[in-house]
Amino acid sequence: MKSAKLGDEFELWKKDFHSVKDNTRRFLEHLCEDKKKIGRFNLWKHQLDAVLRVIYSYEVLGKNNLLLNIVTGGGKTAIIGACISWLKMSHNLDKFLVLVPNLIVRDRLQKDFLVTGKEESVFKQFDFFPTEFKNLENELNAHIMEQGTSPQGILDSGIIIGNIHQLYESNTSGKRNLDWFLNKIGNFAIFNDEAHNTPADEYTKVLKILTHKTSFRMDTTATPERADGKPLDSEMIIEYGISPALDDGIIKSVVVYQPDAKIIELTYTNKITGEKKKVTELDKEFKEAESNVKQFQWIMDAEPMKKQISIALKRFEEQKRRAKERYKPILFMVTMGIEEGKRVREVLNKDFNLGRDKVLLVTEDTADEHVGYKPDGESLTAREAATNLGKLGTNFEVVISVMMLREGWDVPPVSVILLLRKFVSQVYGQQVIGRGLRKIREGDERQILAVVDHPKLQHDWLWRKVGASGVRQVDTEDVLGDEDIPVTPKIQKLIRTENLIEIPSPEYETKIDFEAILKKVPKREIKKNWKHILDSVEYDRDKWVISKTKIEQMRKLIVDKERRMEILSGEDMDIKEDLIKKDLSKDELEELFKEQIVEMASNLLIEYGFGGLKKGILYNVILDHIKLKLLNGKNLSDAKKEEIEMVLENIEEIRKNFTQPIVDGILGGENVNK
Amino acid sequence: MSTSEHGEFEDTKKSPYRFEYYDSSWELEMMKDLEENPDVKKWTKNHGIIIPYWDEDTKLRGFKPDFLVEKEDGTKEIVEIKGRHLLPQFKKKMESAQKWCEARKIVFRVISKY
Repeated sequence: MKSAKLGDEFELWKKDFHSVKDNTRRFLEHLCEDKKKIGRFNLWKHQLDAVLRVIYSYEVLGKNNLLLNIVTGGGKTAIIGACISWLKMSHNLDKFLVLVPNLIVRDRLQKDFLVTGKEESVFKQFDFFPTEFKNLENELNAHIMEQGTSPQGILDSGIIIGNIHQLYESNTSGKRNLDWFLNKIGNFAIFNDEAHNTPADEYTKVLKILTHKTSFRMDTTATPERADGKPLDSEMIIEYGISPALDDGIIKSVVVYQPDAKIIELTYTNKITGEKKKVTELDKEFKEAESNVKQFQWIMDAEPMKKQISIALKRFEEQKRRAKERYKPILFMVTMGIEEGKRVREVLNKDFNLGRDKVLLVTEDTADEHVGYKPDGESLTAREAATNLGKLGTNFEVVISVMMLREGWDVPPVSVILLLRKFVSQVYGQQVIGRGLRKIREGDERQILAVVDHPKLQHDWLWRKVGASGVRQVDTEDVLGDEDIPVTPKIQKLIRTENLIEIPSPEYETKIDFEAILKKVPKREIKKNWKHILDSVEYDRDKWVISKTKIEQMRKLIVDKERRMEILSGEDMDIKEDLIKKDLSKDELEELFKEQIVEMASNLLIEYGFGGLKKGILYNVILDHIKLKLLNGKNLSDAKKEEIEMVLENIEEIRKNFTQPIVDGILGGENVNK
Repeated sequence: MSTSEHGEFEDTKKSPYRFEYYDSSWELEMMKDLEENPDVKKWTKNHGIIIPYWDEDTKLRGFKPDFLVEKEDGTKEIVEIKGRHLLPQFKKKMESAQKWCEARKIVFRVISKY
């Protein structure tokens, strides 16, 4: 795989779209218009960037074998749709061969590209064609190449979608299809959607045979490593990975939930021999199964399976709560083999009361299995149900899949993924997680994809790859709040420049005598003996007074909702003392006391440049110090009311002893200033 | 302390920004007042002003005042909301701010809410 940096020349080109065909210029100008105004979608920024890069590479640089590396969920279909529109408009291409990795992707793409379908095609949704070219849209239509269909569709339709196997010379219909492409139609463009994971030899051969009739080829992938480890031969012109997509609010953050490996042990039983093994003893078997060398003969035992399912169902409930019925979240379970998938279905039915109306099992074997009825009374297959998953009003909410839904099937509402298998290859693991990455709703709302995993599956590498925002240990019964949802980064945009306030320059210098001050500054050092210093502090308590004014103020800050406003001059710092004095209860005082210590700890950390993580340590030291020095060694609950009042009243005196060298000492001196 | 209510004030008209961050309910109240007050022309909390001051440990620190306000009559003000400051260097900060503002013909005000 080569990687091209388009550089400054490209940036310049974007300003005027020079050196392109007239129709391309028309297409680009139309593409950059705001489509929201006419009730259509705009491309996301990176999608538009990708289309511009493709056009620049092809028309200006003369490259015709391109690779787009776009994160799953990053909207590759719309990019392909835009490129088809442009090629149709500007390059007189009439045939577009779209190669897909599996049946599910095929079905979805057919829907997206079907110009005459019930749902709007991407061409309509994004309004790719300018008005005077709208007629071209009708020539596109999608044809599916599959076993037993006539190749006539290759002639009749503009877009031909199929698995690479439909063009293999080794089968009759493949050979015939290939022949039609070579001899019955003109030149064409190839779009290769995640197809590079097909075993290489024959795939490469087919593309080679087609080369001399291929005017343009574009590969799209989220995982540019090939399953067989060989490099890709196309040139990468854009890389849009997880972190920019997170920043742009297009994908979810992955949060991983794992049980304690000591509490839930993953054990397996061999379905033929009945032999038992721990998950860590099955590395070889997992590897062989993943590379199709040998079938996986092991099934996870009921006990760990139930517990893992139970954790996943808890996360699922949480995700449903977050969805607030605006969409229908899906729980996606991935098993190693078909039999194991069936076992999971049984367990869900028996132990969790989730029947076949809610649970959908999709595997290569069961894809055409009857699973229900369509609204018109016709039989519904598992594969069809999988394509409609997540639509409001549909029944299925748990999907069990073996490898079927690996690529391309991005039903956005996948909110929880339960991994009941181990991933060995980089590509598979990322693809499965990729199923749930696309954000369900656009906009500022941050969402997570909850993945239920197990420490012994050793997926650390995968969590790094997908940029997981956290790996968290949970118990089967834990019910969580929203603490794992990342905070929405909000940008304080400048929208009214006319309202910026100019800050006047000083009319005279306010001089500071640095020399004099520097002389006074003692050399800073970390006090290793901080405990000794703190312990030897003596407070002159006789001089301390309890006026209750300060406590009253502290309390006022907390409880007074009816605030009145009073304007004082900058000089006048004193606080009005005509406050209604009211005694606080012991509980209230204790509460206030704790709040004040937390406040003090926080302020000290900020002042001295520490992060907030060490607040607990500092809080405890301050508390111990107060106990020892001011409460006669008693705990807060045993201290007298007056004692607490006295501490509160003189809290600033206490704070003064927590100088920077002391706090440095307490916290080990690792502050951010160093 | 329960003054840790913070959030974004979205209803800006006089601020240059789409929204302004507030760190306490008092600041939020202040923002509403500023929007409603006919004497106020522009205001912001995101003004970038950092006033240097020397704290008790004779360390040079920076202090970021709360609001920068421009009145209809062209006068400018820095407004500091008082209340959460129980730290001893508060006075030092205020003195430095006063001097800083004087040199720039900016009015310095402290608003106390109790």
